[in-house]
Amino acid sequence: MIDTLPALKIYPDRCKGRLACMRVCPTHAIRVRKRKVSIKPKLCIDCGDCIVACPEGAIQARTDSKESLKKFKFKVAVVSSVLYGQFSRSISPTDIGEGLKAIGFDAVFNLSLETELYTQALKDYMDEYKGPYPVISSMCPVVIRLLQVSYPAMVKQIVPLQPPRELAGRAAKRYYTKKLGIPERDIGAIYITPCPAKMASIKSPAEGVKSHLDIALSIKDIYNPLLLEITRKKRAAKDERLVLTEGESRSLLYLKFPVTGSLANALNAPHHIVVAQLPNIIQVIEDLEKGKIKDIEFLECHACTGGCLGGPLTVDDRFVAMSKLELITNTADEDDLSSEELIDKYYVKGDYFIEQPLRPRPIDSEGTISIIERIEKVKVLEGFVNELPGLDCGLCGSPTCEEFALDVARREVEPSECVMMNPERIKALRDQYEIFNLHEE
Amino acid sequence: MSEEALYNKKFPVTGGDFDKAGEVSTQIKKILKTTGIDNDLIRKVAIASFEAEMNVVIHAEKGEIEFILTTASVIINVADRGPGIKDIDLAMQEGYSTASDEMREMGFGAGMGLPNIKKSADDFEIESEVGKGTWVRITIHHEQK
Repeated sequence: MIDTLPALKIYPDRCKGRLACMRVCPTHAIRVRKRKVSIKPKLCIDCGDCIVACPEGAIQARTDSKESLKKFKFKVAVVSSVLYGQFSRSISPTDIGEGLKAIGFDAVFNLSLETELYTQALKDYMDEYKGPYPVISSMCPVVIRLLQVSYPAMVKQIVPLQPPRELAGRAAKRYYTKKLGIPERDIGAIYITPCPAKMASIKSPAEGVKSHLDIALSIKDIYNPLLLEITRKKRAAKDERLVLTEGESRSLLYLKFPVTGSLANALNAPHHIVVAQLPNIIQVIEDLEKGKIKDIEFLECHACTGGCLGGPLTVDDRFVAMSKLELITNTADEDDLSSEELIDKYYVKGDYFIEQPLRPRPIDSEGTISIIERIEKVKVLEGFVNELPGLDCGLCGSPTCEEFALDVARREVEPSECVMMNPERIKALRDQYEIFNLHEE
Repeated sequence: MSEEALYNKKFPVTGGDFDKAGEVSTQIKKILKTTGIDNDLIRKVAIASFEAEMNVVIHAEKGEIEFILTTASVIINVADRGPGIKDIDLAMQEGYSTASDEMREMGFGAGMGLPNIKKSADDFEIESEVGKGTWVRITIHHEQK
Protein backbone atom coordinates (compact mmCIF):
# COMPACT_ATOMS: atom_id res chain seq x y z
CA MET A 1 0.00 0.00 0.00
CA ILE A 2 1.25 3.48 -0.84
CA ASP A 3 -0.13 6.80 0.36
CA THR A 4 0.60 9.74 -1.91
CA LEU A 5 0.93 13.42 -1.17
CA PRO A 6 1.84 16.12 -3.72
CA ALA A 7 5.57 15.66 -3.04
CA LEU A 8 5.79 12.35 -1.21
CA LYS A 9 5.08 8.66 -1.43
CA ILE A 10 4.61 6.90 1.87
CA TYR A 11 5.15 3.15 2.31
CA PRO A 12 3.55 2.37 5.68
CA ASP A 13 4.62 -1.28 5.33
CA ARG A 14 8.28 -0.29 5.51
CA CYS A 15 7.74 1.92 8.56
CA LYS A 16 9.08 0.60 11.85
CA GLY A 17 7.76 3.47 13.91
CA ARG A 18 11.10 4.96 14.91
CA LEU A 19 9.62 8.49 15.06
CA ALA A 20 12.63 10.03 13.27
CA CYS A 21 10.43 11.68 10.63
CA MET A 22 7.96 12.95 13.20
CA ARG A 23 10.76 14.61 15.16
CA VAL A 24 12.20 16.51 12.19
CA CYS A 25 8.95 17.64 10.58
CA PRO A 26 8.96 21.46 10.88
CA THR A 27 5.19 21.82 10.59
CA HIS A 28 4.25 18.92 12.90
CA ALA A 29 2.43 17.19 10.04
CA ILE A 30 3.51 13.64 10.91
CA ARG A 31 1.87 11.15 13.27
CA VAL A 32 3.03 7.64 14.08
CA ARG A 33 0.19 5.50 15.38
CA LYS A 34 0.59 1.79 16.02
CA ARG A 35 4.10 1.96 14.55
CA LYS A 36 2.85 3.31 11.23
CA VAL A 37 3.55 6.71 9.79
CA SER A 38 0.89 9.02 8.39
CA ILE A 39 1.14 12.60 7.17
CA LYS A 40 -1.55 15.27 7.37
CA PRO A 41 -1.68 16.55 3.79
CA LYS A 42 -2.87 20.04 4.70
CA LEU A 43 0.10 20.61 7.00
CA CYS A 44 2.79 19.14 4.74
CA ILE A 45 4.84 21.81 2.96
CA ASP A 46 6.85 19.39 0.79
CA CYS A 47 10.25 20.09 2.37
CA GLY A 48 11.39 16.46 2.29
CA ASP A 49 13.14 16.53 5.68
CA CYS A 50 11.30 13.29 6.52
CA ILE A 51 12.72 11.55 3.45
CA VAL A 52 16.23 12.20 4.67
CA ALA A 53 15.40 11.31 8.28
CA CYS A 54 13.79 7.91 7.66
CA PRO A 55 16.29 5.05 8.04
CA GLU A 56 13.82 2.62 6.45
CA GLY A 57 13.06 4.50 3.25
CA ALA A 58 9.39 4.49 4.15
CA ILE A 59 8.97 8.03 2.79
CA GLN A 60 10.12 8.73 -0.75
CA ALA A 61 9.99 11.69 -3.09
CA ARG A 62 7.22 11.50 -5.60
CA THR A 63 9.31 12.25 -8.68
CA ASP A 64 8.65 10.84 -12.13
CA SER A 65 10.44 7.80 -13.52
CA LYS A 66 12.65 7.74 -16.59
CA GLU A 67 9.96 5.73 -18.35
CA SER A 68 7.62 8.72 -18.24
CA LEU A 69 9.98 10.46 -20.70
CA LYS A 70 8.55 8.25 -23.41
CA LYS A 71 5.29 10.12 -23.60
CA PHE A 72 6.98 13.13 -25.20
CA LYS A 73 8.16 13.27 -28.79
CA PHE A 74 10.80 15.88 -28.03
CA LYS A 75 12.37 15.84 -24.57
CA VAL A 76 14.14 18.88 -23.17
CA ALA A 77 16.08 18.56 -19.93
CA VAL A 78 15.68 21.78 -17.94
CA VAL A 79 18.81 21.96 -15.83
CA SER A 80 19.75 24.16 -12.90
CA SER A 81 23.38 24.56 -12.01
CA VAL A 82 22.82 22.40 -8.92
CA LEU A 83 23.41 19.45 -11.24
CA TYR A 84 26.85 20.81 -12.21
CA GLY A 85 27.95 20.66 -8.60
CA GLN A 86 27.25 16.95 -8.25
CA PHE A 87 30.09 15.52 -10.31
CA SER A 88 33.86 15.41 -9.93
CA ARG A 89 35.86 18.48 -10.90
CA SER A 90 37.01 16.95 -14.16
CA ILE A 91 33.42 16.77 -15.45
CA SER A 92 32.33 20.04 -17.02
CA PRO A 93 28.81 21.39 -17.62
CA THR A 94 29.38 20.56 -21.30
CA ASP A 95 30.12 16.93 -20.42
CA ILE A 96 26.96 16.80 -18.35
CA GLY A 97 24.91 18.21 -21.25
CA GLU A 98 26.31 15.53 -23.56
CA GLY A 99 25.56 12.88 -20.97
CA LEU A 100 21.94 14.00 -20.69
CA LYS A 101 21.57 13.62 -24.44
CA ALA A 102 23.05 10.15 -24.23
CA ILE A 103 20.49 9.02 -21.66
CA GLY A 104 17.53 9.99 -23.76
CA PHE A 105 17.05 13.74 -23.87
CA ASP A 106 16.85 15.51 -27.23
CA ALA A 107 18.05 18.84 -25.89
CA VAL A 108 19.37 20.50 -22.77
CA PHE A 109 18.15 23.90 -21.65
CA ASN A 110 19.80 25.55 -18.68
CA LEU A 111 18.38 28.37 -16.61
CA SER A 112 21.15 30.89 -17.27
CA LEU A 113 19.27 33.37 -19.42
CA GLU A 114 16.08 33.08 -17.35
CA THR A 115 18.05 33.64 -14.16
CA GLU A 116 19.33 36.94 -15.56
CA LEU A 117 15.88 37.96 -16.78
CA TYR A 118 14.24 36.99 -13.50
CA THR A 119 16.74 39.04 -11.55
CA GLN A 120 16.17 42.06 -13.79
CA ALA A 121 12.40 41.63 -13.43
CA LEU A 122 12.80 41.47 -9.67
CA LYS A 123 14.87 44.66 -9.67
CA ASP A 124 12.15 46.40 -11.68
CA TYR A 125 9.48 45.05 -9.36
CA MET A 126 11.34 46.23 -6.26
CA ASP A 127 11.82 49.70 -7.79
CA GLU A 128 8.09 50.17 -8.21
CA TYR A 129 7.01 48.34 -5.05
CA LYS A 130 5.44 50.42 -2.32
CA GLY A 131 5.22 47.92 0.54
CA PRO A 132 4.50 46.21 2.83
CA TYR A 133 8.06 45.06 3.41
CA PRO A 134 9.96 42.80 3.26
CA VAL A 135 9.46 41.38 -0.19
CA ILE A 136 9.94 37.62 0.18
CA SER A 137 11.78 35.51 -2.40
CA SER A 138 9.74 32.98 -4.36
CA MET A 139 12.52 30.62 -5.41
CA CYS A 140 11.87 27.97 -2.81
CA PRO A 141 8.42 26.37 -3.16
CA VAL A 142 8.62 25.10 0.42
CA VAL A 143 8.74 28.67 1.68
CA ILE A 144 5.77 29.65 -0.49
CA ARG A 145 3.80 26.72 0.85
CA LEU A 146 4.79 27.53 4.45
CA LEU A 147 3.50 31.08 4.08
CA GLN A 148 0.32 29.95 2.33
CA VAL A 149 -0.42 27.46 5.08
CA SER A 150 0.80 29.11 8.27
CA TYR A 151 1.31 32.83 7.58
CA PRO A 152 -1.48 33.74 5.17
CA ALA A 153 -1.22 37.45 5.93
CA MET A 154 2.30 37.50 4.42
CA VAL A 155 1.46 35.77 1.13
CA LYS A 156 0.98 39.12 -0.60
CA GLN A 157 4.64 39.93 0.10
CA ILE A 158 5.96 37.02 -1.95
CA VAL A 159 7.65 38.05 -5.22
CA PRO A 160 4.89 37.57 -7.85
CA LEU A 161 7.32 36.42 -10.54
CA GLN A 162 7.67 33.01 -12.09
CA PRO A 163 10.92 31.45 -10.88
CA PRO A 164 13.72 30.85 -13.44
CA ARG A 165 12.87 27.13 -13.74
CA GLU A 166 9.33 27.96 -14.88
CA LEU A 167 10.53 30.71 -17.21
CA ALA A 168 13.03 28.25 -18.68
CA GLY A 169 10.30 25.67 -19.27
CA ARG A 170 8.27 28.30 -21.09
CA ALA A 171 11.28 29.52 -23.07
CA ALA A 172 12.32 26.00 -24.05
CA LYS A 173 8.88 25.27 -25.45
CA ARG A 174 8.71 28.55 -27.33
CA TYR A 175 12.23 28.06 -28.68
CA TYR A 176 11.85 24.53 -29.99
CA THR A 177 8.36 25.11 -31.36
CA LYS A 178 9.79 27.90 -33.45
CA LYS A 179 13.10 26.33 -34.34
CA LEU A 180 11.94 22.81 -35.18
CA GLY A 181 8.28 23.40 -35.95
CA ILE A 182 7.16 20.89 -33.33
CA PRO A 183 3.77 21.58 -31.74
CA GLU A 184 4.11 22.64 -28.12
CA ARG A 185 2.13 19.65 -26.82
CA ASP A 186 4.78 17.28 -28.19
CA ILE A 187 7.59 19.00 -26.31
CA GLY A 188 8.25 17.72 -22.82
CA ALA A 189 10.06 20.15 -20.50
CA ILE A 190 11.62 17.89 -17.89
CA TYR A 191 13.04 19.49 -14.81
CA ILE A 192 16.03 17.81 -13.19
CA THR A 193 15.13 18.45 -9.59
CA PRO A 194 17.13 18.64 -6.36
CA CYS A 195 14.01 18.41 -4.17
CA PRO A 196 10.50 16.98 -4.03
CA ALA A 197 9.01 20.44 -3.48
CA LYS A 198 9.85 21.56 -7.01
CA MET A 199 8.31 18.36 -8.28
CA ALA A 200 5.15 19.18 -6.33
CA SER A 201 5.22 22.72 -7.72
CA ILE A 202 4.88 21.21 -11.21
CA LYS A 203 2.00 18.89 -10.29
CA SER A 204 0.17 21.43 -8.15
CA PRO A 205 1.56 24.96 -8.64
CA ALA A 206 1.14 27.31 -5.69
CA GLU A 207 -0.95 29.76 -7.71
CA GLY A 208 -3.17 27.04 -9.15
CA VAL A 209 -2.27 27.47 -12.84
CA LYS A 210 -0.54 25.00 -15.13
CA SER A 211 3.21 24.70 -14.83
CA HIS A 212 5.39 25.25 -17.89
CA LEU A 213 7.33 22.17 -16.87
CA ASP A 214 5.81 18.76 -17.50
CA ILE A 215 7.55 16.29 -15.26
CA ALA A 216 10.54 16.17 -12.91
CA LEU A 217 13.28 13.61 -12.55
CA SER A 218 15.27 13.53 -9.37
CA ILE A 219 19.02 14.19 -9.55
CA LYS A 220 19.50 11.09 -7.40
CA ASP A 221 17.61 8.87 -9.85
CA ILE A 222 19.44 9.95 -12.99
CA TYR A 223 22.87 10.32 -11.41
CA ASN A 224 24.22 6.82 -12.01
CA PRO A 225 23.09 6.35 -15.61
CA LEU A 226 24.23 9.89 -16.36
CA LEU A 227 27.65 9.38 -14.83
CA LEU A 228 28.06 6.16 -16.78
CA GLU A 229 27.36 7.90 -20.10
CA ILE A 230 29.56 10.85 -19.28
CA THR A 231 32.47 8.58 -18.46
CA ARG A 232 31.92 6.59 -21.63
CA LYS A 233 31.83 9.74 -23.77
CA LYS A 234 34.86 11.23 -22.12
CA ARG A 235 36.79 8.09 -22.87
CA ALA A 236 35.91 8.52 -26.53
CA ALA A 237 37.58 11.92 -26.00
CA LYS A 238 36.41 14.35 -28.58
CA ASP A 239 37.39 17.79 -27.50
CA GLU A 240 34.33 19.46 -28.90
CA ARG A 241 32.49 22.20 -27.13
CA LEU A 242 28.80 21.68 -26.66
CA VAL A 243 26.80 24.25 -28.51
CA LEU A 244 23.91 25.16 -26.30
CA THR A 245 20.82 26.89 -27.56
CA GLU A 246 21.20 30.43 -28.73
CA GLY A 247 21.47 32.96 -25.96
CA GLU A 248 22.37 30.38 -23.37
CA SER A 249 25.55 31.35 -21.72
CA ARG A 250 26.86 29.95 -18.53
CA SER A 251 26.34 33.28 -16.85
CA LEU A 252 28.08 33.73 -13.54
CA LEU A 253 24.87 34.76 -11.85
CA TYR A 254 23.21 31.56 -12.99
CA LEU A 255 26.00 29.38 -11.69
CA LYS A 256 25.82 30.96 -8.25
CA PHE A 257 22.05 31.13 -8.13
CA PRO A 258 21.14 27.98 -6.18
CA VAL A 259 23.44 29.05 -3.35
CA THR A 260 22.02 30.95 -0.37
CA GLY A 261 22.49 34.69 -0.61
CA SER A 262 23.06 34.89 -4.36
CA LEU A 263 19.70 36.46 -5.11
CA ALA A 264 19.95 39.10 -2.41
CA ASN A 265 23.48 39.90 -3.55
CA ALA A 266 22.45 40.17 -7.18
CA LEU A 267 19.64 42.52 -6.21
CA ASN A 268 22.02 44.70 -4.34
CA ALA A 269 19.23 45.48 -1.86
CA PRO A 270 20.70 47.55 0.95
CA HIS A 271 18.63 45.93 3.67
CA HIS A 272 18.25 42.25 3.03
CA ILE A 273 18.58 39.11 5.07
CA VAL A 274 19.23 35.57 3.91
CA VAL A 275 17.74 32.76 5.96
CA ALA A 276 18.09 29.01 5.51
CA GLN A 277 16.38 26.09 7.26
CA LEU A 278 12.77 26.04 8.25
CA PRO A 279 13.09 26.55 12.01
CA ASN A 280 15.10 29.72 11.32
CA ILE A 281 12.67 30.86 8.64
CA ILE A 282 9.71 30.33 10.97
CA GLN A 283 11.46 32.32 13.71
CA VAL A 284 12.16 35.22 11.34
CA ILE A 285 8.61 35.25 9.97
CA GLU A 286 7.19 35.22 13.50
CA ASP A 287 9.42 38.16 14.45
CA LEU A 288 8.47 40.03 11.28
CA GLU A 289 4.77 39.51 11.99
CA LYS A 290 4.96 41.16 15.36
CA GLY A 291 7.37 43.86 14.27
CA LYS A 292 10.37 42.65 16.24
CA ILE A 293 12.34 42.57 12.99
CA LYS A 294 11.86 45.80 11.07
CA ASP A 295 13.34 47.74 8.19
CA ILE A 296 14.15 44.74 6.02
CA GLU A 297 13.43 45.27 2.32
CA PHE A 298 14.14 41.82 1.00
CA LEU A 299 14.02 38.41 2.61
CA GLU A 300 15.67 35.53 0.79
CA CYS A 301 14.60 32.19 2.21
CA HIS A 302 15.77 28.67 1.45
CA ALA A 303 14.33 25.63 3.22
CA CYS A 304 17.65 23.82 2.77
CA THR A 305 21.00 24.81 4.25
CA GLY A 306 23.23 25.96 1.42
CA GLY A 307 20.16 26.57 -0.75
CA CYS A 308 19.16 24.13 -3.48
CA LEU A 309 22.58 22.49 -3.34
CA GLY A 310 21.39 21.01 -0.05
CA GLY A 311 18.19 19.60 -1.56
CA PRO A 312 17.14 16.16 -0.33
CA LEU A 313 17.46 14.66 -3.83
CA THR A 314 21.03 15.77 -4.49
CA VAL A 315 23.95 13.36 -4.45
CA ASP A 316 27.08 15.17 -3.37
CA ASP A 317 27.67 16.95 -0.09
CA ARG A 318 26.26 20.48 -0.27
CA PHE A 319 29.48 22.17 0.84
CA VAL A 320 31.63 20.24 -1.62
CA ALA A 321 29.11 21.03 -4.36
CA MET A 322 29.30 24.71 -3.46
CA SER A 323 33.07 24.71 -3.80
CA LYS A 324 32.81 22.99 -7.18
CA LEU A 325 30.35 25.57 -8.48
CA GLU A 326 32.71 28.27 -7.36
CA LEU A 327 35.47 26.62 -9.35
CA ILE A 328 33.29 26.51 -12.46
CA THR A 329 32.36 30.16 -11.93
CA ASN A 330 35.99 31.20 -11.63
CA THR A 331 37.04 29.39 -14.76
CA ALA A 332 33.99 30.23 -16.91
CA ASP A 333 34.76 31.00 -20.54
CA GLU A 334 35.28 34.62 -21.30
CA ASP A 335 33.28 34.44 -24.49
CA ASP A 336 30.11 33.84 -22.52
CA LEU A 337 27.81 36.80 -22.79
CA SER A 338 27.75 39.23 -19.89
CA SER A 339 24.58 39.92 -17.89
CA GLU A 340 24.08 43.35 -19.45
CA GLU A 341 24.27 42.04 -23.00
CA LEU A 342 21.85 39.23 -22.24
CA ILE A 343 19.34 41.54 -20.60
CA ASP A 344 19.58 44.15 -23.37
CA LYS A 345 18.88 41.52 -25.95
CA TYR A 346 16.16 39.46 -24.34
CA TYR A 347 14.46 41.35 -21.52
CA VAL A 348 10.75 42.05 -22.02
CA LYS A 349 9.44 44.16 -19.19
CA GLY A 350 6.34 42.73 -17.54
CA ASP A 351 6.66 39.28 -19.14
CA TYR A 352 7.66 37.36 -16.03
CA PHE A 353 4.78 37.72 -13.62
CA ILE A 354 2.90 34.68 -12.33
CA GLU A 355 -0.31 34.11 -14.21
CA GLN A 356 -2.58 34.18 -11.15
CA PRO A 357 -2.05 35.81 -7.78
CA LEU A 358 -0.83 33.59 -4.94
CA ARG A 359 -3.49 32.92 -2.34
CA PRO A 360 -3.34 31.62 1.20
CA ARG A 361 -4.17 27.96 1.78
CA PRO A 362 -5.25 27.99 5.41
CA ILE A 363 -5.23 24.68 7.26
CA ASP A 364 -8.37 25.49 9.19
CA SER A 365 -11.27 23.35 8.08
CA GLU A 366 -13.60 24.34 10.90
CA GLY A 367 -14.85 27.42 9.08
CA THR A 368 -18.46 26.80 10.01
CA ILE A 369 -18.16 26.79 13.78
CA SER A 370 -18.65 30.04 15.65
CA ILE A 371 -15.96 31.92 17.48
CA ILE A 372 -17.66 31.08 20.78
CA GLU A 373 -17.33 27.36 20.09
CA ARG A 374 -13.70 27.84 19.06
CA ILE A 375 -12.91 29.64 22.28
CA GLU A 376 -14.50 26.80 24.23
CA LYS A 377 -12.15 24.46 22.40
CA VAL A 378 -9.15 26.64 23.21
CA LYS A 379 -10.09 26.59 26.90
CA VAL A 380 -10.54 22.81 26.99
CA LEU A 381 -7.25 22.48 25.17
CA GLU A 382 -5.35 24.73 27.57
CA GLY A 383 -6.73 22.77 30.52
CA PHE A 384 -5.63 19.50 28.97
CA VAL A 385 -2.16 20.72 27.95
CA ASN A 386 -1.53 21.65 31.58
CA GLU A 387 -2.16 18.05 32.60
CA LEU A 388 0.38 16.69 30.11
CA PRO A 389 4.05 16.26 31.11
CA GLY A 390 5.45 18.69 28.50
CA LEU A 391 8.30 16.34 27.64
CA ASP A 392 7.39 16.05 23.96
CA CYS A 393 8.56 12.44 24.06
CA GLY A 394 6.47 11.47 21.06
CA LEU A 395 5.47 8.06 22.41
CA CYS A 396 1.80 8.94 21.99
CA GLY A 397 2.50 9.25 18.27
CA SER A 398 2.12 13.03 18.15
CA PRO A 399 5.23 15.22 17.90
CA THR A 400 4.61 17.40 20.98
CA CYS A 401 2.33 17.41 24.01
CA GLU A 402 0.54 20.41 22.53
CA GLU A 403 -0.08 18.64 19.24
CA PHE A 404 -1.29 15.62 21.19
CA ALA A 405 -3.81 17.81 23.01
CA LEU A 406 -5.01 19.16 19.66
CA ASP A 407 -5.28 15.62 18.28
CA VAL A 408 -7.35 14.62 21.31
CA ALA A 409 -9.56 17.67 20.83
CA ARG A 410 -10.08 16.60 17.21
CA ARG A 411 -10.95 13.12 18.50
CA GLU A 412 -8.18 11.57 16.43
CA VAL A 413 -6.67 9.87 19.45
CA GLU A 414 -7.57 8.93 23.03
CA PRO A 415 -6.02 10.79 26.00
CA SER A 416 -4.92 7.36 27.30
CA GLU A 417 -2.21 7.18 24.60
CA CYS A 418 0.00 9.38 26.81
CA VAL A 419 2.47 7.20 28.73
CA MET A 420 2.54 9.60 31.65
CA MET A 421 -1.22 9.71 32.02
CA ASN A 422 -1.67 5.99 31.47
CA PRO A 423 1.11 3.61 32.65
CA GLU A 424 -0.60 0.74 30.78
CA ARG A 425 0.39 2.46 27.57
CA ILE A 426 4.06 1.61 28.18
CA LYS A 427 3.20 -2.07 28.26
CA ALA A 428 1.22 -1.80 25.04
CA LEU A 429 4.13 -0.01 23.39
CA ARG A 430 6.61 -2.63 24.58
CA ASP A 431 4.46 -5.31 23.03
CA GLN A 432 4.12 -3.40 19.80
CA TYR A 433 7.82 -2.75 19.49
CA GLU A 434 8.96 -6.23 20.53
CA ILE A 435 6.84 -8.05 17.97
CA PHE A 436 9.04 -6.50 15.32
CA ASN A 437 12.52 -6.67 16.76
CA LEU A 438 14.31 -3.55 15.59
CA HIS A 439 17.72 -5.15 15.50
CA GLU A 440 16.99 -8.41 13.78
CA GLU A 441 16.04 -7.34 10.31
CA MET B 1 -24.79 42.33 19.40
CA SER B 2 -23.76 43.17 22.92
CA GLU B 3 -20.11 42.70 23.76
CA GLU B 4 -19.45 39.55 25.71
CA ALA B 5 -16.10 38.47 27.12
CA LEU B 6 -15.05 35.08 25.76
CA TYR B 7 -11.56 34.65 27.06
CA ASN B 8 -9.00 36.42 29.13
CA LYS B 9 -5.52 35.72 30.30
CA LYS B 10 -2.89 37.69 32.21
CA PHE B 11 0.83 37.57 31.52
CA PRO B 12 3.56 39.03 33.74
CA VAL B 13 6.36 41.03 32.08
CA THR B 14 9.73 41.71 33.70
CA GLY B 15 11.46 45.03 33.01
CA GLY B 16 14.91 44.67 31.47
CA ASP B 17 14.44 41.01 30.58
CA PHE B 18 15.37 41.15 26.90
CA ASP B 19 15.83 37.40 26.79
CA LYS B 20 12.11 36.83 27.13
CA ALA B 21 10.96 40.03 25.47
CA GLY B 22 8.31 39.30 22.88
CA GLU B 23 7.12 36.03 24.38
CA VAL B 24 3.83 37.41 25.61
CA SER B 25 2.87 38.71 22.19
CA THR B 26 3.89 35.36 20.70
CA GLN B 27 1.54 33.59 23.10
CA ILE B 28 -1.31 35.96 22.39
CA LYS B 29 -0.79 35.45 18.68
CA LYS B 30 -0.81 31.71 19.14
CA ILE B 31 -4.10 31.76 21.02
CA LEU B 32 -5.66 33.94 18.34
CA LYS B 33 -4.41 31.63 15.60
CA THR B 34 -6.06 28.66 17.32
CA THR B 35 -9.35 30.53 17.32
CA GLY B 36 -9.15 30.94 13.56
CA ILE B 37 -9.72 34.69 13.73
CA ASP B 38 -9.05 36.90 10.70
CA ASN B 39 -5.33 37.12 9.89
CA ASP B 40 -5.17 40.87 9.46
CA LEU B 41 -6.64 41.26 12.94
CA ILE B 42 -4.06 38.86 14.34
CA ARG B 43 -1.28 40.86 12.72
CA LYS B 44 -2.51 44.13 14.21
CA VAL B 45 -2.82 42.56 17.64
CA ALA B 46 0.64 41.01 17.30
CA ILE B 47 2.25 44.35 16.43
CA ALA B 48 0.39 46.31 19.12
CA SER B 49 1.00 43.78 21.86
CA PHE B 50 4.66 43.39 20.93
CA GLU B 51 5.30 47.13 21.05
CA ALA B 52 3.43 47.40 24.35
CA GLU B 53 5.41 44.51 25.79
CA MET B 54 8.68 46.07 24.63
CA ASN B 55 7.76 49.36 26.28
CA VAL B 56 7.44 47.56 29.59
CA VAL B 57 10.73 45.70 29.07
CA ILE B 58 12.61 48.84 28.03
CA HIS B 59 11.22 51.38 30.48
CA ALA B 60 9.52 49.74 33.44
CA GLU B 61 10.41 47.64 36.46
CA LYS B 62 7.65 45.17 35.88
CA GLY B 63 4.22 44.99 34.40
CA GLU B 64 1.29 42.88 33.41
CA ILE B 65 -0.41 42.36 30.07
CA GLU B 66 -4.01 41.29 30.06
CA PHE B 67 -5.43 39.82 26.91
CA ILE B 68 -9.21 39.88 26.55
CA LEU B 69 -11.14 38.47 23.65
CA THR B 70 -14.76 39.51 23.35
CA THR B 71 -17.40 38.89 20.72
CA ALA B 72 -16.66 42.34 19.30
CA SER B 73 -12.96 42.94 19.80
CA VAL B 74 -9.55 42.10 21.18
CA ILE B 75 -8.50 44.20 24.15
CA ILE B 76 -4.94 44.44 25.44
CA ASN B 77 -4.53 46.04 28.86
CA VAL B 78 -0.99 46.90 29.88
CA ALA B 79 -0.15 48.15 33.35
CA ASP B 80 3.39 48.73 34.54
CA ARG B 81 5.25 49.96 37.57
CA GLY B 82 7.98 52.29 36.44
CA PRO B 83 9.00 55.88 35.78
CA GLY B 84 5.77 56.88 34.04
CA ILE B 85 5.52 59.36 31.18
CA LYS B 86 5.93 63.09 31.83
CA ASP B 87 4.39 64.41 28.66
CA ILE B 88 2.08 61.93 26.93
CA ASP B 89 1.48 64.12 23.85
CA LEU B 90 5.22 64.31 23.29
CA ALA B 91 5.59 60.56 23.83
CA MET B 92 2.98 59.91 21.16
CA GLN B 93 5.07 61.73 18.53
CA GLU B 94 6.99 59.57 16.10
CA GLY B 95 10.69 59.51 16.85
CA TYR B 96 10.40 60.81 20.40
CA SER B 97 12.02 58.50 22.92
CA THR B 98 13.32 58.61 26.45
CA ALA B 99 15.19 55.32 26.16
CA SER B 100 18.67 55.39 27.69
CA ASP B 101 21.79 55.51 25.51
CA GLU B 102 22.43 51.92 26.50
CA MET B 103 19.02 50.87 25.20
CA ARG B 104 19.56 52.81 21.99
CA GLU B 105 22.85 51.05 21.44
CA MET B 106 20.92 47.80 21.60
CA GLY B 107 18.64 49.06 18.86
CA PHE B 108 15.68 50.03 20.99
CA GLY B 109 14.05 53.37 21.60
CA ALA B 110 13.43 54.50 18.03
CA GLY B 111 10.43 56.38 19.37
CA MET B 112 8.00 54.38 17.29
CA GLY B 113 6.49 52.19 20.01
CA LEU B 114 3.46 54.20 21.06
CA PRO B 115 2.78 55.60 17.56
CA ASN B 116 2.88 52.05 16.16
CA ILE B 117 0.44 50.85 18.80
CA LYS B 118 -1.91 53.70 18.01
CA LYS B 119 -1.71 52.96 14.28
CA SER B 120 -2.66 49.32 14.81
CA ALA B 121 -5.45 50.03 17.29
CA ASP B 122 -9.06 51.07 16.74
CA ASP B 123 -9.19 52.58 20.23
CA PHE B 124 -6.22 53.59 22.28
CA GLU B 125 -6.20 54.96 25.80
CA ILE B 126 -3.17 55.88 27.87
CA GLU B 127 -2.74 57.20 31.37
CA SER B 128 0.42 57.70 33.32
CA GLU B 129 1.68 58.98 36.64
CA VAL B 130 5.31 60.04 36.93
CA GLY B 131 7.16 57.86 39.39
CA LYS B 132 4.41 55.28 39.53
CA GLY B 133 3.69 53.75 36.17
CA THR B 134 1.73 53.70 32.94
CA TRP B 135 -1.56 52.15 31.94
CA VAL B 136 -2.51 51.46 28.34
CA ARG B 137 -5.68 50.02 26.85
CA ILE B 138 -5.64 48.88 23.23
CA THR B 139 -8.82 47.82 21.46
CA ILE B 140 -8.96 46.23 18.02
CA HIS B 141 -12.37 45.33 16.57
CA HIS B 142 -13.12 42.08 14.75
CA GLU B 143 -14.90 43.39 11.69
CA GLN B 144 -13.35 46.33 9.89
CA LYS B 145 -16.27 46.75 7.49
